[in-house]
Amino acid sequence: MRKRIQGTELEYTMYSKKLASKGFDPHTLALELLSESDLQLAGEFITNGSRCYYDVGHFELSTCEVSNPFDMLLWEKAGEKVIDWLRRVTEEKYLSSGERIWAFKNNTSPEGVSYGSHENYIVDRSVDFPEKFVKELVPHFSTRFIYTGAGDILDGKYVLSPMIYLTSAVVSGETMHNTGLINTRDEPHSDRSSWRRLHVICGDALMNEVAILLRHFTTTAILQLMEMDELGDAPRLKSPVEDMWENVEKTNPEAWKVHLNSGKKVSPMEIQRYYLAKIENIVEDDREKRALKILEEVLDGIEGRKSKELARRVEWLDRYFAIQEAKESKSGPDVEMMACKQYSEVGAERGIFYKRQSKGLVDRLLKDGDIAKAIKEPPSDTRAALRREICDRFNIESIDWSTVMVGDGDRRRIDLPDPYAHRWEDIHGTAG
Amino acid sequence: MEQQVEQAPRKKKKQDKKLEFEAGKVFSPGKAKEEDLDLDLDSARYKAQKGQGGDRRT
Repeated sequence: MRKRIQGTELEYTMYSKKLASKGFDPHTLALELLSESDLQLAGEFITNGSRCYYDVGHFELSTCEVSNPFDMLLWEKAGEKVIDWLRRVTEEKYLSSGERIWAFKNNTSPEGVSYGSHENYIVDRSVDFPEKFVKELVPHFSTRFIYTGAGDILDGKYVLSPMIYLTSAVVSGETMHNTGLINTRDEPHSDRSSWRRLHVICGDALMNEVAILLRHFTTTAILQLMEMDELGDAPRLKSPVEDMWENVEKTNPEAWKVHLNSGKKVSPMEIQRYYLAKIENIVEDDREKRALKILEEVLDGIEGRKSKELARRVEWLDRYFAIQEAKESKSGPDVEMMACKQYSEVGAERGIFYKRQSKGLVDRLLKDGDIAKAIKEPPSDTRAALRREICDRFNIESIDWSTVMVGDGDRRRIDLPDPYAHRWEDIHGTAG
Repeated sequence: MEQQVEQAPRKKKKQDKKLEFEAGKVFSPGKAKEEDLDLDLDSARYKAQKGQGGDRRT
């Protein structure tokens, strides 16, 4: 598969009853500590090329630019660990023993307030927008949640994907209300004559490594197939939003239905198998073949109702089981909601997902040592590496994704319009 | 695009950082205490501000 620049933006929620009672916000305290740490690079950027900032009452972490789904998983998990570390050091500095800060990687608080987890993909500007995306990508976005859903409790019921439950339209430019499967925001942070940034806001904040990989593996592959004009025969959906609203509330795959324009009713599984067959034609190396195999196994697992085995890779199912187990061992009116939310706590000692991971109940794809390295270093094959090199070489006056102002006597601007350019030579050519 | 002009790289002045990232805090955080593994009513009732997460319009 071709390289494709991508990244995620996650709104993490931090909570401390003690700090709140004193009028302090843990998000801003954590950001202050980050700026004083050896992870700080310049401005809002950290040494691995990711960007951290305060946004709408959350700690937002936008990952560095990565070139493929496998690196996406690695640097998203690195960001999650940065949050966990900051939570811990903020606790140590500002709280007494036994007082805590919790950090959550999810999409809703218990009262149902929502916050975002966005994916971004660089796409060839020549692909018709939004027409081609509605025809060829919406069938994917309205059905992929059967294996990329995080699970949540909303309006008193368990839903497979909070963000699908909360999505209201096929196409929209909004990010807080009345959001769409296709978001029309287009800030490419690169040469806009060449690229569009596809801003995907209908995906969930995920803990499970396999689910994160599949989210990016499938979507990256489908965008390539769209650019190759290979999806002209994609299934035409009659009512994708209404269908996904129905399906997202059902844990039984046999109850899922998708209405086609032809009048036929199919399962979301059939839509996903259409894409699976297409992706098979473009996978090249061993890790892509492995990802494709995992996707096939997951779809087979859903069809075969192999729920315990499937829960190792499908987050909505594992969260569902975690909630059921909590109900069996605890009593009280809030047990389900408590378990649902604590599943997404990023603290390795306290989060239910991490408890289950340490018990070997969920599959892993990454090694901790690789995540530790990715916390400090950017990927070597994207603009993030070049931005880091510039920051290491010069004194920085200001910095953004695609522009750096350096001040070494003569103040000058360095433009970085190509997100794939990763070496100094890429922007300066060869000397001579 | 404006042509960039190569200049001799200057060595950036290193700044001392007070706080060092410790991988051990997040990758081997120690044995969890029993109470840490309990469901926590307080944390599970946290309130968050509305962010860019959409809402349900029917």
